[in-house]
Amino acid sequence: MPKVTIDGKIIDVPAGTLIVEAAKPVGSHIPVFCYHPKMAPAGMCRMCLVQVGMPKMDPATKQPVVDENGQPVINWMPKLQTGCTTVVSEGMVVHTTTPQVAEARRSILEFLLTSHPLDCPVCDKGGECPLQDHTLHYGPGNTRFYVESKFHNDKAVPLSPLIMLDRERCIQCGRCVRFQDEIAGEPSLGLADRGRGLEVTTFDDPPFNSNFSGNTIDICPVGALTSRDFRFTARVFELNDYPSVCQQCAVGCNVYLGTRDNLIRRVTPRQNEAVNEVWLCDKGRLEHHYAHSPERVTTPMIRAESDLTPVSWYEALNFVANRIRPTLGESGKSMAGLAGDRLANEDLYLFQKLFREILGSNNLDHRFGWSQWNAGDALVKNFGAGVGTNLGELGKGVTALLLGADPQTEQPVLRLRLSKITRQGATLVVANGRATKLAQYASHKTIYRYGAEAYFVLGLVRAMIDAGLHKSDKANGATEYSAALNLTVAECAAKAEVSADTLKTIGETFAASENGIILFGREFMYAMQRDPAVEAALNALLILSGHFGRKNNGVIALYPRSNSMGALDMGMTPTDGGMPASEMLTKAKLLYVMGADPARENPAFKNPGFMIVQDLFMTATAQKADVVFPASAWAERDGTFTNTERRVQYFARALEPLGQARPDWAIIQELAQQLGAKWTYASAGDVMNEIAQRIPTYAKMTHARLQVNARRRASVQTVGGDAAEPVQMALGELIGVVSGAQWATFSETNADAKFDVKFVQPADSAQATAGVYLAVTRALLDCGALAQYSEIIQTRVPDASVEINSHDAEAWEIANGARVRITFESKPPRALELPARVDGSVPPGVVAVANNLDGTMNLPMGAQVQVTQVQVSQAIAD
Amino acid sequence: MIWEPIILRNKNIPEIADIDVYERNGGFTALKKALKEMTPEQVTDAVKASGLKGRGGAGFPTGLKWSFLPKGVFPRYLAVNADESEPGTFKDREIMEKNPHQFIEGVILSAYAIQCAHAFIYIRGEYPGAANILEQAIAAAKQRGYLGAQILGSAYDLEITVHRGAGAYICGEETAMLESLEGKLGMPRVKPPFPAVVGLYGKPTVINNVETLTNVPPIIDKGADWYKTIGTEKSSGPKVFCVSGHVNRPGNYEAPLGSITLRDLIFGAEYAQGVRGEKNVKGILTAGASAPMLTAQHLDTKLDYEAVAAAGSILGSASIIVLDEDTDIPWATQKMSRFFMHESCGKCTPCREGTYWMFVLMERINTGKGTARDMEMLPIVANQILGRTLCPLGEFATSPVLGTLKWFKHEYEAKVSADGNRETEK
Amino acid sequence: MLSETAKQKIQELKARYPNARSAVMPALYVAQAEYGWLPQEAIDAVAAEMGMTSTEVGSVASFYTMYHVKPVGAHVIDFCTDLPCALAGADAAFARLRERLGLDAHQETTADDAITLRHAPCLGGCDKVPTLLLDNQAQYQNMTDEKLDALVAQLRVAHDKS
Repeated sequence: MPKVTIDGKIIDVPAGTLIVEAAKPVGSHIPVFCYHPKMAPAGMCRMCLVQVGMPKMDPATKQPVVDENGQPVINWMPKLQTGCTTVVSEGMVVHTTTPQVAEARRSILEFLLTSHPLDCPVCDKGGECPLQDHTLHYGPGNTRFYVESKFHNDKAVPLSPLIMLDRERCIQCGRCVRFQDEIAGEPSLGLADRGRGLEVTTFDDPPFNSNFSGNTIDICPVGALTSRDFRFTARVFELNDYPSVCQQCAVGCNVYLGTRDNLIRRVTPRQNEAVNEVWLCDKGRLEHHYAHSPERVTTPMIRAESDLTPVSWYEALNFVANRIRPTLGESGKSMAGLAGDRLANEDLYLFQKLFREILGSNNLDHRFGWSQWNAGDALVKNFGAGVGTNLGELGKGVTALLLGADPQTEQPVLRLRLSKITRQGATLVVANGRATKLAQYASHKTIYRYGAEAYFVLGLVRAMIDAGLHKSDKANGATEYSAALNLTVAECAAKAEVSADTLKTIGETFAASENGIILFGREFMYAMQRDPAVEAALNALLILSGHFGRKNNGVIALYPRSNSMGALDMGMTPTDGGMPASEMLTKAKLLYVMGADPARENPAFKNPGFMIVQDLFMTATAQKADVVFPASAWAERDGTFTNTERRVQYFARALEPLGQARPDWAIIQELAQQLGAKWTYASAGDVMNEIAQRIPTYAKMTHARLQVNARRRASVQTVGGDAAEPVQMALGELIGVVSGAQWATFSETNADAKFDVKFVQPADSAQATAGVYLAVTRALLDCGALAQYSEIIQTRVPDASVEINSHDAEAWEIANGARVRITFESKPPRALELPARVDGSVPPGVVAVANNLDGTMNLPMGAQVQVTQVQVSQAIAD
Repeated sequence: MIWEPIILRNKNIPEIADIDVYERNGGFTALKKALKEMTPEQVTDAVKASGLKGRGGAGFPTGLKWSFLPKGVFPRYLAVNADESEPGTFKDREIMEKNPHQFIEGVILSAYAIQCAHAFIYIRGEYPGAANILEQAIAAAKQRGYLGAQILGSAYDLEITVHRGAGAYICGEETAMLESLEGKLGMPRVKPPFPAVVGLYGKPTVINNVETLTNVPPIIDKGADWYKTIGTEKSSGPKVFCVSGHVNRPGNYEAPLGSITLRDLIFGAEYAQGVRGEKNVKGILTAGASAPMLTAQHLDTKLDYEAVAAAGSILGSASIIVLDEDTDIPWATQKMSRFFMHESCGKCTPCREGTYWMFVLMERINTGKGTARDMEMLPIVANQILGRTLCPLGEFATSPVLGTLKWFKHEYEAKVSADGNRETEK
Repeated sequence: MLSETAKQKIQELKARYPNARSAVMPALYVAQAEYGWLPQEAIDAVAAEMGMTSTEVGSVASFYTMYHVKPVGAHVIDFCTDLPCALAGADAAFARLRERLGLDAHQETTADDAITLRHAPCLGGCDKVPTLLLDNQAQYQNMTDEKLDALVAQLRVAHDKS
């Protein structure tokens, strides 16, 4: 580690460290604009100029020359050096406070301000603006430029529905452009023209169409890029920034909810280097609008005559209790509970406790669509990626294998983080039945035939065994397995329609890698549900590769919602013969639905004899309910979510509840008390304390512990202060902040455990027959339960379409944009008519439809479909 | 002594652009010699021994540059800088248009020396004629087995691609050129890493100027010892001097480095033949717009890298622009300031903002709006740029201002007034 | 729409480089030759052929002065008025030419869209002043007033015919 001296302080830093980074721990502040620690140095703004010297070396002895005081003689570089591009080296001496450095900073700021409009009073960035702050600390007090010669540029240029650009405020640091290029991988912002005319622009249509565009607002060091969602709704120093966790997907990005007057004004990322680093996708940034929707249910209601009528809480709870009480203890079996997996652990825990302990029913589930979402949960419990795994930091010695996943739409921020791991030295393997965004970053990418997932994985196992790379020390039945696996790599390859070399390379690479992680997504979960051989094969791959039970090893399931993992952990599954959702939706006599809308999402849903719905909105299900309990939005209460990596994270309350809405856990407790339970939880924290005692994996996971680093944003009032966190976030000066806690898997807590490997013969799927395979995909931005309340999201929701391979389209004589009819071989038979999108991202023989757009809900997974052209209409924009 | 050109051989053999003529006059003998008798290392060593320095402006020893390539890393590339855009520079143009085969032979020899299989010639977009001639010369060389697969029966393969720029002076900066060649904006890269290590497409890359490479065939043909006899000890070889401005016979003139003075070049019968209208010299730019101006008192400066530097300027690309006694110096400076403002890529703050500011000042002064305060600001702004830019362009941009202020401050002072309201003739 | 020939040309250009993106500059020349300038449609067409976003292509086009991202006349004269040329009287020749073309103070293109006249930075023709670049295709040197008038007349005739 090179030893360097910065402002007289000696410090050891890792080789390759830049001066700007080396200066942080010694407390020397080097101001920057263009530099951001998450991006490659650009050396554009020149704000970070410092004085750098190297010890003079004696060429004969190769030792530093010392002066009469025994101090090394320093050769100062004739010019100041940029701290953001200069890597430290042994013996380097850096001065950051000399008059020359101060003069350089003043010069750069004076240059930057020559044409800056100085319209801080009406600028959204005011108060958290690095340009303001640096000017305060390092800038000249006046300018010597001429007002009449100021370079005038366009102001308030709408770059997209979300982003407004002020070209006069822009200091051409290029951060936004580089973010889109380097981090987001969606180069939809560019620099146009040159010299003083250099400006940020987009030539795309739709303009600046990126799901990560909002991050450019956060990292813009001036007020050039502002949010059209937030503009002029508050001064940033008036905001109360509450720590929260994004509720939109299972990544669990850490956020701040910036509130003023009991309204969320903006959502910004909160640093968590283990989860989202400093990023957030646009969906997470914008979806908060539902919390303030006028359509929220704000009073309890009971069905009187035929209509739902507002009543008091007392009346509503009594109504339900009176209905249940007579049957307590005997007919619990006919009562069922269905809860959504966006709800907090505290809610889900109490919900199942109510059913199991008060109502005496195990009829509990949170999976109610066409599919059982959480296939592979046993794999996660046993072999989930080891505690300490940081997916953004995977590097040398790690192979990450993605199966049937499309993180770009399933878990966008995860895609951002995985995109960079090959640059860090990791091996990224992407295998799916179609092309995905992440595949462009992969070391190995392959497209297998849908329906042949088991063969694909078995091929990897076979390749590993053939090469003698398998490990048997934690396996029961390894030898028998090897014998039973009666398939060669070539046979598996033929079934999966990939090359045998590919299978061999991937299988051997994964097995030989020091560490191995498998991530599987929605499409792979569908495959697991169709054929148990898929999960068995994956089980064998994990056990025989030995990639589990420690950091950077194991499996991660890309679950669909913010607390799908927590729902499993809290026991929201039908145990001991309880009815799963598929049964309860048709058989239950009394159904308690919390935060779920089965009537919308599952066509099999039948109105039960009595139904309680607890929700934010009058959903399709709520409209059929006998009782409606108004629940608080997540921002109106606190609690915890468990993300896709088993990280339990705390979110704080940011708003007063709307109307009479109450937290879900509190409603459940009230009902339980009506039914005679002696529950006395005063807060969600009390519930969590019980969870920490009763669920072993959650031991010690109290709110107090989870709140570390998840506190209200610091120093919101200290305008211009060095401690102002928003500025530090923008500049990337907060280092290594991590919060939340991962629970340890069975293989981690039981180091000596052995696991069974069993060969399961793949069911030869029907894919070999005629027809086309329907791949059910997902659009990130949709008209979903919550997204529909954000106007900006709605402008960007794509029209539903059916993706067709260009060769198929040619054979079927279907032009891009033509309306086509797809008919499912399913029960009941269904047909859809959609415009065709012929862009070649699906392989021949496959059509893809996103099942979360208008008119495409409830598609059967993995169905064979017939495609016919019905009419030629205008080409759709894509 | 009348110098027989080694580079501008077209001066003596006007038809040398015809490949047959070039061959009859010793063309490609160096290539044959290198491929048959010399290893790549020997070619590099010969160039090192010759003392040849880059003719593009920076004057870096060519053979040394080649030896910086990391060993064993392939592919590697040769990118030829034919983006000649410095005001007053037109030497590479004449070489490419009038003596193209020697240049191409130089490219092949150099590519062989560094073991590169694909060389690129980045030629400025404003030279469509030269680009066409090069395409033809490459086709002709290919036809005769000097290029392509297994050159002259050896195991060595080489492709040359001519890439046209599209109007950006900055692409003459080597890393900006690489960016442009990669299909991006021509903005300079942060150095280090240097192109020798991380260059075109992230691979080791050598970048040499047209005139530099045109020196290579004679070096290989006749040997480093012969070459070292030309020029001075520190500046060996011949140099092409571009002379323009107020002279009777503007043009390119070749002479050994250090063999003539500025006076010889401007007034000599075999050179520019004096100042038009028998006027006196007022200012001399030696490296186009990028180096500080010299004056009549420097006429006896020898034309080599060291002597010009000692006089307070830079020989650079040796683009000598002569300004006569009647030239309005602030007006000329504004021309140059405008050029740099127009050509700043905008990537770094001091250059982007500073070139604009300097131009605003120059315009104020030249239009009679200037004040003493503006006079004060000129050097301040220039010095705020100096030493702080990402690439040399910003530094160059200060030269016209600082260089002319040094000798001709009185001309500026004559244009400014207390109230910034002076009547001007222009 | 980019012609099939142009599309094919662009694909050929891509094959010339180790990294296809390098062909974006020559591809822009191909598109500009077809459109006369580079409207959004041309940028989109090049982007589609190159497999790049329109932003990436447009950004490159706008950086270099020889790509016209704003409409220009049927012919473009880039006339050097940089220092060496100016010392030899190019400013006067330029002013005279502007007058000939009937251009107003801030106008670059003639009213009939026949000719665009622009200041050019040094064209490397400093020994044969005045010098100009026509349509990115050819340089004309030693352009006396007579030769300039003849060139303009010739361009006008060509424009009127088409």
